[in-house]
Amino acid sequence: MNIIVCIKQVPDTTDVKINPETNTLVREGIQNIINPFDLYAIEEALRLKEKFGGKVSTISLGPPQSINALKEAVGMGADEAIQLSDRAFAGSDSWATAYTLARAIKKIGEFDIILCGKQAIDGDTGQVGPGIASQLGITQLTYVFKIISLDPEAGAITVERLLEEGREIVEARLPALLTVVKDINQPRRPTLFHIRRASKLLIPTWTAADLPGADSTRLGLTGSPTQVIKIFSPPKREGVLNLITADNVEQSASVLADKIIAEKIL
Amino acid sequence: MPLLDIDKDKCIGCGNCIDACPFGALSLVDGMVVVNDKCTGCGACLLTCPMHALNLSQERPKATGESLSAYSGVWVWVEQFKGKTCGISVEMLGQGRKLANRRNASLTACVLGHQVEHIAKEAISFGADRVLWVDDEILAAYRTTPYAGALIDLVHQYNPEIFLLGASSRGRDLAGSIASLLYTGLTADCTGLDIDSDSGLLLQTRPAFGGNIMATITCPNHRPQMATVRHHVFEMPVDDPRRQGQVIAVKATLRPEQITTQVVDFILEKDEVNLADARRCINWLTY
Repeated sequence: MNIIVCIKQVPDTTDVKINPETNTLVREGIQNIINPFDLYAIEEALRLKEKFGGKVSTISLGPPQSINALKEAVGMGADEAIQLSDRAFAGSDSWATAYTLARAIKKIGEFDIILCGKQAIDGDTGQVGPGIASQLGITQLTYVFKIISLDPEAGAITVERLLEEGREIVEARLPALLTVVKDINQPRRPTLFHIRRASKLLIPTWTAADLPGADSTRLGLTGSPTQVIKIFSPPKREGVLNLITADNVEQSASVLADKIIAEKIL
Repeated sequence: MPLLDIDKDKCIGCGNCIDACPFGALSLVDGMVVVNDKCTGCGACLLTCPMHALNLSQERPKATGESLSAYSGVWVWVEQFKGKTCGISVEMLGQGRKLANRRNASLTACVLGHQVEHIAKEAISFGADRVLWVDDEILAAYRTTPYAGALIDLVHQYNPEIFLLGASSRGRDLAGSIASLLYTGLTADCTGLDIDSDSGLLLQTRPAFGGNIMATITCPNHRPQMATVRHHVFEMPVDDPRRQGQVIAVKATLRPEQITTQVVDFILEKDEVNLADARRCINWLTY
């Protein structure tokens, strides 16, 4: 079974803080990491490979340094990695990103499943996965919480999707693109064996010239329908912190309960 | 080679771009901006430069006014679950009404499902002028392919200028598919929507980097301008049951065998509260 995992390198935004004096982002010491949701996609791919055999390929679109995210994925156990990096891809919005990844996936060839994280923590759009599925004309299963059954021979998959009202069970035909939520598994850590393999593995970098049939007017900033016209700091939140201090849990609960009733919240 | 080009003859060293860069890739050296390899080519800095000294060595296509003028009207996809309208869609109808008024255009609600005529009527009471109502067994439970297929057919037929969907799981699933197939811009998870008084473009504001920065985004050359909007951003409109509107019944075009997914069960979380519908959350911390 051939599995492709799309991953993104993102700044570790949990470290991002606003400097209250200048009202700008404090960026010193921010590390680039694999988008946390993509780690679940990598883990799920590795588990499918362990069960059904086959190959796990990872692919990432980004600046030159995004190769480190691919190395980490190989360190977890992915078989292959392909980097998409070119000045022509710079400034891609979610449409152009999905288009570029879809063209690259076509070049990789036969596959049964594509896995993505449900969204990236920097952009938070969750639109690239559905975009790739639509561009490739394959089944799209978003917010997958569990793969209930998979039959590669019959080309059938049953998954549980996590939605606002509950969990939906869906049967679908392969090939399919799945975006996964964080509760689907517990991602493994890279192992020494695979890290050594990653350090030796030649990860090819594909540019626009390496994507046969890609329309250059649909790549990068040129091909992106959306345009960022302004970036600004969010308005300061109005609010009052009311910290309840009491001797024990019962007492603080009682104070809180009184406040909730007094404010007519309940 | 860094992804950003800096025209050293134009740069005045004002530093505007440094604050705009989410990656800390820009800095001032000897009164001139320089870029390091942290640059991802995201383009966030481009418009902050008063001297137009920054570019990504790519040309954006220019809008062709003629082709864009063929598009008009604001559309809202009215999401329903088991025959009940989702609150997020009602909020969208309220905001869609305001945007339509500002554009002197009509508000259209797209109601898809099976036996959902009551929702079509409800959409009019919440502000729609017209409802495109697609009622078919194939649409009983939400699935990407038949919903996206039906809406894309409608977009091709009626050419809306703006198309809004709720940023729910289904809304994001659907919007990503439609925008991809139509080759148009989609801004996900907006927390603000307005009309630019000069250009008439939809100004779409959304948080990024976990809410640490806000970005305003437009879609100048493609139509419809699509956005998904978060829950509780816009006020619930008051319904007016006497409001009149047009309901157009449309047939679904996809056949069951063209659809690769089948919803076999839905496990409702009965004991759990849908946090999206909560007005207040209380967080309990123990030390």
